[in-house]
Amino acid sequence: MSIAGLESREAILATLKSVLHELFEIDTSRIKPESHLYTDLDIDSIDAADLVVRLRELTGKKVKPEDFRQVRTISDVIDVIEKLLAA
Amino acid sequence: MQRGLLERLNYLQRLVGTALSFGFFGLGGMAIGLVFYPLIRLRHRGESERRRAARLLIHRVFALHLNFMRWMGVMDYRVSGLESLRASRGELIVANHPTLLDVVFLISQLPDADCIVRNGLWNNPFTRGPVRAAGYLLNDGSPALIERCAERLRSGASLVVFPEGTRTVRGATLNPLQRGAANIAARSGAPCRPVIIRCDPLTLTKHEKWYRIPPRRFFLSMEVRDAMPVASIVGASAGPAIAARRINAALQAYFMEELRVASPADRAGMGSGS
Repeated sequence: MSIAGLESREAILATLKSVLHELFEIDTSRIKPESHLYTDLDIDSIDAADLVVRLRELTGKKVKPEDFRQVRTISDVIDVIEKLLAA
Repeated sequence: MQRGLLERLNYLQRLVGTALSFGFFGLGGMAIGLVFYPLIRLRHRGESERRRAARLLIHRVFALHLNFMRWMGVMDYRVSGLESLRASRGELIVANHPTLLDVVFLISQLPDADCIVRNGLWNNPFTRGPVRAAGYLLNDGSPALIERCAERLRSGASLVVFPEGTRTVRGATLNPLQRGAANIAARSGAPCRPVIIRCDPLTLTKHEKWYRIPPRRFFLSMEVRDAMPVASIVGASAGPAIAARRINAALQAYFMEELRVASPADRAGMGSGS
């Protein structure tokens, strides 16, 4: 059960890059697994809510804002997506 | 010697005036919550009438407060562009935030405006009565606040916001603007009306104790500017998050530019000359 663009961590990262660019015009070269969402990428809580909505569309899963409470870095986001897809 | 004595008397008068101002602020807040608002509730039945009456009361009390401070020689103030502020409907009133008095100053000129208040004021015993009675919006840190603000704007009330988030750091012209205000503008389509607030000599800044009064009477000024049409800043195709970033950048540039240059009065030689 794999969704196009979400088959592996590398694929998820690539998808995430294009989503972040599309939603927030973030330069994709700045987006690395260790990038911190709030400090490095200037994403705030309102952006995070937009991102959650977009991830819900992408994964087709019930993504809850609570799932992202502990999320700090891009790598954390990938973890959450992997976990959602495995569930 | 004579001059030294007068100066010290003036200092004492301003110190006492400042102390009384703080005292009255607390007492006034309590009185609104415990006495005046219950009376409003007796007189007005509907939720929106009560809210409007509470806001009008707060507006008048704040005007009284400023005039008391002026009468005590603590400060003086001037407003330019008041007509456009009074006529403002459904606008986001975006102000910089140099001092503790900025909200009092703005609301003293606005008889029926919405405000966003942080948790501290919502629960503070001196302020909880008035802020709840006026139906101000609580900033609970949730993105849902943006939608609640947009609803209020669509209903026709103007909303006062300080996008710096907190008072300007001493020595800085402006704190980096948080995107909350820009997001409200982007998601509601409401025009942004900038208000430039200046204080000279600067006082009542963040972390400054009330009794550290300035060497002379301070002067607070407010310049109400033309509303910025949000659509022209954003462009057609941008999504709301990108629109918010562009509006925020435009506001940041606008305030930096305006605050960097002296106020028109200073340029005309009426200012302090410092």
